[in-house]
Amino acid sequence: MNPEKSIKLSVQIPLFLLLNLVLYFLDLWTNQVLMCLVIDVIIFGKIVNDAMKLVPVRYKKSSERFVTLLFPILLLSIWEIFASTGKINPTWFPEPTKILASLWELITVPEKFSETTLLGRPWMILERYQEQGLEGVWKLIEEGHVWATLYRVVMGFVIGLVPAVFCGFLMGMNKTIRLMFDSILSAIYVLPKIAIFPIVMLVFADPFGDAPRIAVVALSVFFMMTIHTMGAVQNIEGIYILAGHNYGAHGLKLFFKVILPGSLPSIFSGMRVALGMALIVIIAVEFLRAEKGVGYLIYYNWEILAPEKMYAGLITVMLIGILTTLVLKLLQYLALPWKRHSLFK
Amino acid sequence: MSVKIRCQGCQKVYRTAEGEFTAIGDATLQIEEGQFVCIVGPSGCGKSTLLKIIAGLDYFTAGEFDVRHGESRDQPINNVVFQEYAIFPWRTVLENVAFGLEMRGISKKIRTEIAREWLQKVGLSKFANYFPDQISGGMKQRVAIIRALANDPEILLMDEPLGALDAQSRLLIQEELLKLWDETKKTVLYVTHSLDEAIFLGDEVLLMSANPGRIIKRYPITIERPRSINTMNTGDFTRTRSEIWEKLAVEVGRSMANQQ
Repeated sequence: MNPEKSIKLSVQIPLFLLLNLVLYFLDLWTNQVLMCLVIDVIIFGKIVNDAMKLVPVRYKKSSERFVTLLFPILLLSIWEIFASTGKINPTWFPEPTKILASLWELITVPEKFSETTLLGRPWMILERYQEQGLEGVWKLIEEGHVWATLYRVVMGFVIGLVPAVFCGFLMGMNKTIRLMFDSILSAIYVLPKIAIFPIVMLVFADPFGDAPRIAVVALSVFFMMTIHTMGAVQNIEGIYILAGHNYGAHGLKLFFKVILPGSLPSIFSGMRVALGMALIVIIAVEFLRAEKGVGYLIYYNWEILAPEKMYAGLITVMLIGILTTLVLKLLQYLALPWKRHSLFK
Repeated sequence: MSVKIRCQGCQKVYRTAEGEFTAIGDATLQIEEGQFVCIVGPSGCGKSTLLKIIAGLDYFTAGEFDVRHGESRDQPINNVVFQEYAIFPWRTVLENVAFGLEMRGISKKIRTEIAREWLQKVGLSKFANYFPDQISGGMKQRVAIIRALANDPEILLMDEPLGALDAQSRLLIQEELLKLWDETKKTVLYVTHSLDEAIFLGDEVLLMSANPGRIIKRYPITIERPRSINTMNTGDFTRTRSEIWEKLAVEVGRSMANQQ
């Protein structure tokens, strides 16, 4: 223990509480919320920072984890208190507990128009299982909003990714092909794909079905991943190619033993970015036109002025993002054994 | 002894948008089978380019150039140990050492066996399943050297292989290299900017001029083998060094003036 530090802390903490009382009685917490929040976070951060130095070495790791958990919870509690006391407008920023409650409601109570919940109708799972087995359970999940969105994103992502990697390799390895397509690619790449959604709708036999939605996601993933893959191939260090040549790797052997593994790491980091964009596109498309899906749910609940449910929808999108990213990381873990030691740091 | 590599008035001229650039002005050299030949010269003199061309990864624009193949058809003609650690980060140490053999279509069982033997020779058996990112620079370069040797080429080409290492690892690997060479008796062409290294390792030192590079003199090194670190303290060694340095210093000075 460092006595000097602990004395400092024992002064700092009461002062911090005193300052907040003063701010409260001066009504600054009402009139200047943002300023107060910034001041508080800075001082609080300083106190935590000093307190962390007093932690014995063997508790260091767990105390760091504690802080990473504690701070978000603290912010959420501030939000909760402010919203429930009316310091911030609860219509636009409803309390986190209310949001959680409505998330539960979205899962358990079918929504009016789509007649389904986020996860289908989970309370019927047991019943269906007895009637139709696993297939029945699957059908239940399939009818939910989350599955609708997840299906579109994953399908679009894969349909866009596979040809993109192929084209990217061709463009990366052959200069003529690159010169031929580079300007077209750069031009279309910067175009927001959501803008061509109306055209894409016209192309398909059923413009209001899932096909055009998946196609828009696929298109945006395609252009991004083509550019990423091309860059990945071009950025392979020349020395590896030379070494490959010198040891007798040419043609397909060179591709599979040198170019492919050499570019995989950057292709994977491109996939992380493309996945985020695929989520943006699908939510936007569902805003525009859909009878199901998380994007539809968010927009619909905005229209009927049910902000808690809107936020619950946002949380759902976040969870979908986290889930898909995790799957991607798992794939990366399997595909890049030489990067394993740095992946989950 | 038969001549293995022969260059007669070889030139390398690059044509760029700004005009012509002569990287190698006149390379004339002759390397006999089983010889360890070192090339020294100031930086930018074209010695790495020369090595790359002899490796078959580039070509001369003029002159006569000939590499004589041996009897055996399966044996690869040359393998290069590159300046940077050009071992593949996506392959384990063992897979890296076995790379050349794999490309030649040798079965997994046999190539793993050969690679393990070589790893044992340089004391890296423990690290067979490590990835290059997990081992030190000195180990990486040893892996690069035995990757070439495991492939059993007729000629071993080395392009400043120890340039990036600290002085101590350098000394150790130089000794190790001599031991390996003694066992295999391969023809070696070794490019370096360290004069000490060249004299310590070589049967012959070729001096290259500042750009455009020419081979201006060859110095046979008669210091007795086997050599060790102590060799560097003998009178023979220091005498040879000062003799070559006299000429090399002039070229280094010219090279520095060129760059300004």
